[in-house]
Amino acid sequence: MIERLAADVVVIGGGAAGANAALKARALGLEPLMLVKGFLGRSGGSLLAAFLVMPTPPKNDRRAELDAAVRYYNHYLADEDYILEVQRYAREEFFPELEQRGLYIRREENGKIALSPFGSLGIMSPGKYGDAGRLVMDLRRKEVFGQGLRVREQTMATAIVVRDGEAIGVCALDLLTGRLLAISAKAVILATGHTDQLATRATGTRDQCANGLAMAYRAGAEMRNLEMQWWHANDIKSPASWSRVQTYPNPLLGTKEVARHYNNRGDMFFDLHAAPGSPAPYTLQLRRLAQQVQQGLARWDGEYYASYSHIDPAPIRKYNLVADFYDKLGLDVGRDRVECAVTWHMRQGGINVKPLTMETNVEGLFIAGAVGGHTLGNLVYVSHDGQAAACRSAERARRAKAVALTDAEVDREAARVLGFLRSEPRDGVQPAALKREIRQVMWDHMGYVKSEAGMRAGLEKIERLRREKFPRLRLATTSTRWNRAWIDALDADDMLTVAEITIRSSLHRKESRGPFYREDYPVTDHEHWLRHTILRRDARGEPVITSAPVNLKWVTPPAKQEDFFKTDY
Amino acid sequence: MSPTTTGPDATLREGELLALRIARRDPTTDADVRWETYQVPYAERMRVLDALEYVNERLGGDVAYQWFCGARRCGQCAMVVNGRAQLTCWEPAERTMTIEPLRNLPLVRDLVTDRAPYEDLLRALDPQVKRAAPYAGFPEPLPDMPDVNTLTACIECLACHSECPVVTSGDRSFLGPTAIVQLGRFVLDVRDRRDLDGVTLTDAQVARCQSCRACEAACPAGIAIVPAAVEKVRTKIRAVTGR
Repeated sequence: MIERLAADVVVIGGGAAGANAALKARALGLEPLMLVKGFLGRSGGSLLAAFLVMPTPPKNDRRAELDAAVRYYNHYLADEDYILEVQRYAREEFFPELEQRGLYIRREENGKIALSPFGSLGIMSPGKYGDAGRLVMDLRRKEVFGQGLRVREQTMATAIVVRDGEAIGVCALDLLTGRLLAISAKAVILATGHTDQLATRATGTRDQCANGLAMAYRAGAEMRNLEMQWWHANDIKSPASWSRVQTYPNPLLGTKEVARHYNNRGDMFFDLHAAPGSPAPYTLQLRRLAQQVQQGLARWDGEYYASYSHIDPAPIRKYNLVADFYDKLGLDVGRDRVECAVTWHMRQGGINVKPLTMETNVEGLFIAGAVGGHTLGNLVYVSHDGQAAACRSAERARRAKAVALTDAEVDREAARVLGFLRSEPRDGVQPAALKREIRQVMWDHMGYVKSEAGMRAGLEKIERLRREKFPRLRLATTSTRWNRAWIDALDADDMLTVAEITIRSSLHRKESRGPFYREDYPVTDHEHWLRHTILRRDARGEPVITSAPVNLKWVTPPAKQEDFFKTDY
Repeated sequence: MSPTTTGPDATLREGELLALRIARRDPTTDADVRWETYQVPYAERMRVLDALEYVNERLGGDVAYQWFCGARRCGQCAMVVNGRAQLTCWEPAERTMTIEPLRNLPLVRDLVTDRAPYEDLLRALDPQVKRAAPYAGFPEPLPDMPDVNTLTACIECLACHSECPVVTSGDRSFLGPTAIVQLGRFVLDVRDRRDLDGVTLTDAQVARCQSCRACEAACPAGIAIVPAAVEKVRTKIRAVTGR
């Protein structure tokens, strides 16, 4: 019934971070095993990365890059030493290595890279703008399989096994067969990405159900800045499944123009070129949208529009994927506006790590990529993290002895996972319906505009779902063969946990910063809140919140307090 | 008033009930397909995938199907709808829909098929750029490659693989349209100098195409597979091998 395996390093997650971790571990002479809930490179958030950014001569301005990362993408909750290291990695390793392996970054007819300036950086893409992640991951997938690495696809990790404070293995479920896996490992690298499917409208993939954060939390890992959750202001409103189709506020490829956004009266309220030079237009765009909503000129779920009608449609069609989506809806990208709505997006927060080594507070448990709380993440950052995590875990794996998981350790998790495989009570709750309710509570209470009362009411609803509906989950069938409802039940457990700790972290931070807006505290208060929110489980399993200082030397805030709506980051 | 909400699905009204007839089967326990029907209220610009999600989230359907991105990238939600293979996150919902799994692949359960035979075929082709010259450093001097760009849009959803009559006939020597498109991405790349005369790539693997273009009607990326992939790869093979 239970398949026992061993590996030097178990890598959980099949995106850019996980693939890079496994490849680096192999390069260092280790025997890695990858566990992927869906398919390597095809089921996680890396797939949806739209473009690549890199420093472009003649600017090549490292100070401006540092400023962009610290201020605009991490709202000062960043580690400068880490960002400088990623900048080095981008220049010296990431781009040359991918191109050498065959990545074809789109060229113009004159042979120059199709490039759009974006602050101190340049936007480029293999394929069309919008397809970068798919093509980078296509290459990584072929590389991992080409090197013969062990990969278990459609296999969902369900627990990190910890003994005496050290991670010693992983329990997993083979979704095709229903077989449980007990894997002993000298090190575990968690690379499960963002927790995008936590609200009704979300940018992530179906598989991004907070499993990684929940597993790490249960294993005793500390969380950091979980409240730093981004929203998108510019995703297409309908059809529902296209909630991750974006009308980017960033520069397009093939033209110097950018999309404009209009309210329900037809007035333009956002155009990056009209904004004061922010290289992170997302948070700024949300603030402008909030002002429209306050005046009744837009809603969070619609009644505002993106438009490309001021731009020559030829380069949009040639270099930008969004034109295909317009065409499919019967819209003319050179003329028509498309209705937008906000969407739960990436999270700057996550698991607390030492960002240069990717170590957590749990010995033997390493983090790579966006599941970490050290940075917002993009393909470059998370690829770096995969390599860094592999390097440090290799040091551990070389000196550690493999420890077999005991029957008691495996049986405990097996009981939890198999416990969901029941068709009683007959009037019970189906897991897909519970997931939908969780996402609805987060949509209603944890949207872009937050308040103490709204969040407390949301927390109460989440706790009620946990208390009243979760114990009554039932599956339509107890088949163990690709039983989607079984996966949904495991997801629902993790989503309830992460929804709860996300709300608690958000209640703790009594200010507004970057993507995090509380209407009851509309000030960015560096004097009191330029600190990381740290959340962990105490001995009784209850969440405890403390805080930790930031590591900033060069980029510092301009004042002790700032009016949130006047900040541009 | 929304300025632009018309489209190909404009004849369906918000709330109008759509009829779904779904093929259910677990091949380890069920000898035959069991058909189940559901009614789903139409919502603005609804895709086939949205209707399936409604069945599971609101009607307790528990139908097995696979999807990840919902945005024409992961290529994992292709199914046969009203007899034609299509990407379900991409194509609009219709008033009546009969939904079946893709053809020419083993069934896992309900609408989930096993991609392994295709993945094995692709892996055997070693679909990566095989360089003739050493890498010159980033950015390397490269031209615009419009033929490659066209094929790069392929998301390997296998809708064309499901529609192809040569694949359906069981001719194992033929690669099938998806694998030929993927092969074309590298064969047509100016950097690639693979041995086209080698054992893995014979003309027959490409030449068995009947040019019926059934594959193209199914392609969500709109690739003209026969002229853009099959014929270009065939020409390249002949130029290199002299066959």
